Amino acid sequence: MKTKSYQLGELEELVLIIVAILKEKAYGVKVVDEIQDQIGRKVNISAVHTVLDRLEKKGFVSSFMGGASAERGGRRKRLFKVTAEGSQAIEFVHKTRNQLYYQITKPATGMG
Amino acid sequence: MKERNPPKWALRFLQFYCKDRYLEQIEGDLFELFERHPSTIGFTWNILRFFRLRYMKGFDDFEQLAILAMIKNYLKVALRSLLKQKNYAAINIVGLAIALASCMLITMYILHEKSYDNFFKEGDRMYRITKNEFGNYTPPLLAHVIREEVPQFDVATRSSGVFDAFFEIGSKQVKQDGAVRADQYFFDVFDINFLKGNKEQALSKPNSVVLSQQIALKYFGDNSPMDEIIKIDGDNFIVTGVFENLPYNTHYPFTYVIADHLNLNGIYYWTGGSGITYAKLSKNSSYADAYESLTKIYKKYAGPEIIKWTGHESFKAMKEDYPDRKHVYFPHPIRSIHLTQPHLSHNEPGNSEANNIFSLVALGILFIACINYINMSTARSTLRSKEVGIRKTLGSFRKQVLLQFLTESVLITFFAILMAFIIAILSLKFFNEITLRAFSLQDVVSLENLAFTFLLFLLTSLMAGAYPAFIISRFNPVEALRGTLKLKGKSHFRNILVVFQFAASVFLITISLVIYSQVDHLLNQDMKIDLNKTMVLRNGYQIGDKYDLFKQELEQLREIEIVSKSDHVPFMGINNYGYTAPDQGGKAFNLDNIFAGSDFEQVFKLELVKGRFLNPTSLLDTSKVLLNETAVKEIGWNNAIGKKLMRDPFVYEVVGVVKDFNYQSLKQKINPMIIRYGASVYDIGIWHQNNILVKYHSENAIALVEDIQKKWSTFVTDYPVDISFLEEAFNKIYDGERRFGQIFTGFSILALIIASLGLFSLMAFVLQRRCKEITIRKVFGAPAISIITLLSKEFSVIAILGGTIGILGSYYWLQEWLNGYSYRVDLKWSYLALPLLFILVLTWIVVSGKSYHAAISNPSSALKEE
Repeated sequence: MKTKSYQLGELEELVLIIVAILKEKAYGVKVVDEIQDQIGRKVNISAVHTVLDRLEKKGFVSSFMGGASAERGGRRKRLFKVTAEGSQAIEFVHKTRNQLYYQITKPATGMG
Repeated sequence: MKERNPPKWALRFLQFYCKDRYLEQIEGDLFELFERHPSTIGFTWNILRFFRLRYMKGFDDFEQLAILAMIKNYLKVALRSLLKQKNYAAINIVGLAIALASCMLITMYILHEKSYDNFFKEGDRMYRITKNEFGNYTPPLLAHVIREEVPQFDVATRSSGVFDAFFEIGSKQVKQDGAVRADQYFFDVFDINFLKGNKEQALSKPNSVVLSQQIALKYFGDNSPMDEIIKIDGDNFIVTGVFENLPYNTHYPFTYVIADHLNLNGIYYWTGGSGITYAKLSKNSSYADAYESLTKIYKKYAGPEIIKWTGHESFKAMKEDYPDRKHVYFPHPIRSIHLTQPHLSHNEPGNSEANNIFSLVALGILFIACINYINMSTARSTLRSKEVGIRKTLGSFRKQVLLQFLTESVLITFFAILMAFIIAILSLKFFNEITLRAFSLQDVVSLENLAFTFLLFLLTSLMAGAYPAFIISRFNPVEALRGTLKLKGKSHFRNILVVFQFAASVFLITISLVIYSQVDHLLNQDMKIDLNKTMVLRNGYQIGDKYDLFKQELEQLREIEIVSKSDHVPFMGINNYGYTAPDQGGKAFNLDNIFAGSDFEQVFKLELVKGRFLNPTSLLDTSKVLLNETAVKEIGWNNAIGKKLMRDPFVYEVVGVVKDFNYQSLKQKINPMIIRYGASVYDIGIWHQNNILVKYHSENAIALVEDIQKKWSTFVTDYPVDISFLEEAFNKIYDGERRFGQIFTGFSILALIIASLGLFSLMAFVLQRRCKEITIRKVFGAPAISIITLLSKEFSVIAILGGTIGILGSYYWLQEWLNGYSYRVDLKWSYLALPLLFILVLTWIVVSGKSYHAAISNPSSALKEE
């Protein structure tokens, strides 16, 4: 069987991995914070929402409504988790990247 | 610590556009971020960032409204039913598109025709003053007197034009059209933006000229034309301003204005004049008051002069003798000139009657196309009876079924409109040619036009869709499902509609045919004047007093037969002068007036009935005149020779009578005419040689033109000669009629195409329904020809009936139209029978072509179907 190929944008890939790391605790602001903390990159909240929505439509993440809190003006969070399909996508992307990465000849390394 | 809240209005905006599904999470996240950094700007910015298509409410979000959901469903079903019957939908769409395209073009045309001079900001207060009601030209002093004595007008200006002048800039000599001569008040009336120069002062010096942007660009390019000198018709003028180009839709299309101040101390008459007067009504005055004042001005200034030559004892007595005439300097609103007073226009004149006819015809064509739709959908309604039956069984109300079928017609009309735009745009060039306008793509998609197109869209959807939807929604569900549905009386109604289609097509064909034969008839009339091989040198006055020598030298050329001169030329316009006949009790007569040089009669081969022509060598002949037969008859003389005519203070003696000859469009009868002697004395009558007439007998006119040009340049060094051929001018006088015919032909072709499409698809339907009948006939041995005859019979009756109605209608209309012509074709029966025959043949071709297939098909295949 031919391996299924996954097409992911750069930010999509990043957000998908973050959602996987956060394990069912991922929602808009949290993802923004996480990207900022881990990579030091500033992303606008609307961009993250768009990406999450797109990932959900592609079936890589699923969502459910979480609890409300006062700091959110009584609004509930929409929490995201990675689906099986999503995990495969992460796996696929990781694998293909590595395959490519190892093909780079590295004359300088280890030769001293 | 004071608690800060995010801005409410920004939040409300988010709630307004955002889909419910996303709203809560977005709000929550935004609140959370605001909690961290309470910045109003940041919060608002984020909300704007969320303003994306993805989050915006769409069609789905209104689905809770049942009616919208239903409409969505209707559209879906309509689209499916169109796709299922592609041929039928295509015929409908093409037919409607053709009709809608003509409606769109006509709408655009009429909107344009109604827009003339609307661009003048104060155009509603601008008036063109005419002598009596229709006289183009007004006395030179009129504008001055209005400014001085009529308080209702803010300002008035005297101008003349629009004419061609010769520009000389450096060594360049160019003929430039669009010239107007005007006094210094011109731009006070014509409120036009100046790009350079001072509007108030622009014409204040007598040697100034103001150019439009277009002219400035043409002669000076990017350089400023200000203070440059242009030699115009021999005199130097300084450019004092540049104004914005006038749009095309004006009755006075000037491109430059030459200062022309009036010497107020001169002696001027009040009965003639060559100027055009415009005035601007003041804001607080009424039209009625202004009219009143202008009546007084007319009585005060023109009155005494008029009664002097009419011989009445008082102005009042004269008025009683001419009750039909308006004794006033008549103010016409400039915005109405194009359509209601086209003879005052200096642009291509409008024609309100033609506008009405064309809008009627366009609507008629639209109706024909709608009939196609009505016929085809009612004819096919039985095919959809099961669908309607099930809808009704499942609980649809009649209203909903009605709405569903209306949706279908809306959809078809929508596709037709899209196609109509394409057709309209593609046919724009042709349309411009026959209407003599300059429409562009922008005009087709102008806001106004789009609004009208939308109205047209609604109208058509209703006109086409209402009746079928009404019929179909009335179906009884039980009968519909059982398949026993009968369309009562429906085929009757369909036939009436088809009769109308035939009637309209035949009506249009007959009219185009008769218009063409009328034009042909006019062109083939014996004009009793010889226009062949006649050239007109249109600026003959520049030869000045060397005319006699010029004539001699030209006549020495072998190809030239004879040379003469005149102020006006047949078929190029004529002047009208008043004369009185002392021996007829001083009665006044208006006579068409030509000042002719020697040999005039030979150029045109005019015949003499009595007396003699004017003798060029006798100085005494300046007071001798010739009359045409009509003039003699009108004045009431038995023998005109030796009789006297007076035009104060001069007395003229009639020395000859010429046979009547035509000198203008045959729409008019021959008017009474007087031919006077055109003096060659330079300072009296330079305009008597406005035109030099050349009769030639060479086949090679181009070589001759070159010879004349060479000869001309030895006499006149600073102006090129302006040569035209009289035959061309003559051919042009019926251009209006020709275009009328072209437009009608275009319309009849369209109507025919649409009607044939309808006939074709209706025939297809009839064949489908009578398939079994035909097959059984064949099984019993009917030959193909008898089946074709059988099927043709019904449609032949319809075609003959419709054709007859159409012919009667066109006969009535044509009688009216032809009454406008003094020389008219007789409405022969052949003109009327030909279109009928044509439509019959067309019907037979369509019907037999379609039924032939059914007649020769294998009967077993038709019977096997069940």
